[in-house]
Parts: sequence; structure tokens; C-alpha cells
Amino acid sequence: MWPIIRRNAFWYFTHLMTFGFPLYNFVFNEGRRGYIVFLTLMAPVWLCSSVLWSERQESYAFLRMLPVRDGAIAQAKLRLGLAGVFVYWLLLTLYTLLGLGDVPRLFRPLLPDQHHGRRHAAARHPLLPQCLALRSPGHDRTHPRLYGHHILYGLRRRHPSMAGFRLRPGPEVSVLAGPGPAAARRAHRLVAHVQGRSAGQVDQ
Amino acid sequence: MEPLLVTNDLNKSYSDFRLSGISMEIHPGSIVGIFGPNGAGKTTLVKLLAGQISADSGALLVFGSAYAEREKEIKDRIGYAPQEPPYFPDRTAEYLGRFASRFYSRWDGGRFSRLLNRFHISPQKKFRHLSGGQKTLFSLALALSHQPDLLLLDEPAAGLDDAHRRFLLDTLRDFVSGGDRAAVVCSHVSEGLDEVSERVLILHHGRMILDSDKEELLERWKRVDFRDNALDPALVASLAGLRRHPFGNSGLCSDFPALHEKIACGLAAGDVKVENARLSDVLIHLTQGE
Repeated sequence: MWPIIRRNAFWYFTHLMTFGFPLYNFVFNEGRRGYIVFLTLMAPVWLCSSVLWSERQESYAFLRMLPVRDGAIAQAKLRLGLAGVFVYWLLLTLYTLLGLGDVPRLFRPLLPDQHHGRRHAAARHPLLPQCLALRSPGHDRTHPRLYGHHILYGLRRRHPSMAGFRLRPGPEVSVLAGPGPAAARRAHRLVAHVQGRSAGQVDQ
Repeated sequence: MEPLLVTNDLNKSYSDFRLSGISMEIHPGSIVGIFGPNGAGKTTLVKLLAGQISADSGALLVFGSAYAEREKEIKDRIGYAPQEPPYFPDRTAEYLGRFASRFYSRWDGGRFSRLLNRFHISPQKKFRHLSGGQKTLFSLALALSHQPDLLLLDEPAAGLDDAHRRFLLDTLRDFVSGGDRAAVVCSHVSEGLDEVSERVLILHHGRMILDSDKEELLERWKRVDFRDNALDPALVASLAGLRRHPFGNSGLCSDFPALHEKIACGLAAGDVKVENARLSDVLIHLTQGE
């Protein structure tokens, strides 16, 4: 049954991309979440187009030649349609929740943010007010480095006086924390969070 | 030996056509030819046998089961090559083979590749770019590659050149040579296929008008060539499809054993010659009345 589902799913996916692409630009790049409503309005068009196009490309005479029951073909297609609708609904729900600022914590890393995805999410990190600067390791664009960039972006937004701070290449992620042991502890936690491990270097 | 396929009073109606009263058995080791003029119902019958359409009434058992009970298992053991190949037109031969292979339990990819190679069909060629004959051959390759026990071929020789037609006939002989498999070929042209068919069914206007062993049929149906005045006028009148040639006359006899004694003198004198009738002559006589 999988070859039939895979063959039809291709049309669902490509049509989702086709109908959704202009809206993704507005929603993700320009941060106009209100445009999600158009994505919602497009849902029936997308579904009808996907179904019609995949059926147009289908050859039931060929499928009937194969050792597969008619009922199984119909069930597979129905399941595919329902799964497509569910995925569409899930995406819309998550983006809508994001727009309301009420995204479950679990999903936050998965979702793009209003303007620049994780960059803006990092700017809302609770530890940020205590951090003055962040250095990230290496010259590659690995996750910690990018994440560090995002945090720095958030810091700059919140503290205009930090506009001159830059990420500096080094062996490890390091955070320049504010004075006091509490700030150092928070900086340690931030480093661990950024690196995904507990090690870190804090410069007072 | 148990028949591979049994039908009993099978009926199928369309608004302008009715296939009715089809009863037959197909035994292992046999090649059955279904012949008839255009529109006789051959394709409808083969579609019924292949489970592509369902009958309005009557019984159809394939490998001892009805399609309603074990459709998947039955189709897994049937190789069906339709008259109009319905494969995805924008897909390559290789993709179509790969797609079909996912469904069959006994798919032989090597055999499929060898057959494509034998038929000079490029695996990367889209189906719609194949010629008419290549499409027929591709259907045949697909039907043979999952090692079926029963082959159902609808107009398998249509558009084939002589070499490929010969290959088809040889393949059919090889297919049933083990004695445990059978083939059904249907065509409106009997030429060639009647060579390999051991049993002949003739359809006309949706009814089976002849179901006979080929040898038996050829025993009864003879072509009689005779000079003028060599036969009794009453005998001549009983011959079908009378033709007058510059060198004499010819006619078709449908019951040669009964005629044999009456023409014995002519045969001895050399004024009368008797040959096996060709299946196409029988077919034309039975369906056109000539």
C-alpha cells in the first residue's frame, strides 16, 4: 500500500508548498502573522487541488491489476487525505498559538519566531538581563554559535548600550556576566543551556 | 486435475451490450484461445476473468476461490496483460516495474529486466513514449515477471512484428509446458495464436457459440476443393463459404466425418481435395455466415 500512498503524498506535499509558499514569506520572513488566516482559507483549495491532481494522475485500471483489494486502495487514499488535513491543521494551530504568545514550551524550539526565529526567542530568555556579552566557539555555523548570536541579538535589543558587543571566536562558549555570584551562576546556566552541556567559561 | 478457473453462466450487461451464459473451465497445462469478431465480448470476458470488473450474475472461481473472498491472493497468481495498457503514462518502464514489484509476492526483478532487454525497451523510457508494439510487450513483461500460474492476455499479438510474435508463441508454449499453469489468449485475429491454442472458444454477440478442442474442431471442419461437377449439387449446397476459383471451387465443411463417404469417389479420382480448415475460415463462417 505504501507505493500508492507515497505516490499520492507527493502531490499533497508539492501542492502544500505551492499554495503555502507566498504566505510563508509573509508569515515567517516579514512576521505578519495575520496572514495565517489566508493559509486557513487556502486549506480547502489545497486539499481539493491535491486530491484532484493526484486522482488525475491515477490509473485505477492499473491498480486493479495488482494484487490489492479495492477497499484497501480506498482506505489508503482516505487515510492520506485525513493525515494531510491533520498536518495542515496542526501547523495552523501551532502558528496561531505562536501568534498568541502561548506556545507550549515543548514546541518553542521547533517554531519560527515573529521576525528571526530563534533569535527572537532567545531574546526572551529569562537569564538574559544578567548577561552582558557572549562569546561563541569556533568558526563554523554550528548550533551553539548561532544560538549565541541569537542571544546577543536579544541582548542588544534589550540593552541599546550593548550595541557594540560582538561574538568572539574561541574554544568554548563564554559569557561575560554581571558582578556577583548570583549573576555568575545564572551565566553558568546560560552557557550550559547554549552548549547543551554543563561546562562553560564565565568571565566576570 | 482441478481446473484453475471455472465459470458458470457468467453474465455482464452494459447499456448497449450483454455478455451472457459464459460457462467454461480452464485446466492446468492448457492454452485456451478466445476468438471472435470485434465487439464480440472478448475483452469483457477477459476483464471478468482477471477480476477487473465484476459479473452481474453467475459464478467465477479462480484457483478454487471467488474474487470476493480472496482477491489479493488470486491476483497475486494471475498475469494479466490488457488490450489497452493502463500504466502511468509519464513514468518510466523501470518505475512501473518497481511500483508493481511492491505488490507481488513472487516478483522476479531479474526476469523483468531481461524481458525489457529482450524487447529492446529502455528502462528509462517513459511509458507514453513507447510504440504500440512496445506497450504490448511491456504489458507482457509485467505479466510474466511475477511468476503467475494463470496468464490472461488480451490481444497479445496486436502490433507485434513477426519476431516478437514468434517469441510470444514460444513463451506461451514454455509457460504451460510444466503442466501446472495455463494461459488464456483472446484475439480477434486467429492467425498465429491458433497454432498454440489447444482449445478454442468463439464468441459472437456476447455469446459463446463454440467451445471445442482444437484437434476435434479440425477433425470436423475441413476445406474441400473440388472441380466443377465433381460433387453432387446437394453436397455442394451443404458446403459453407463457397468460392469459385479459376481452377475450381472450394467450400467449408462443418461435419467432415459425415461427408467423407459421399466424396470418397471424388477423392479417389483426384477431383476433390480435402485440407484442414483454417481457424479464421471457421471463425468467419460462424460469425459472418459466409
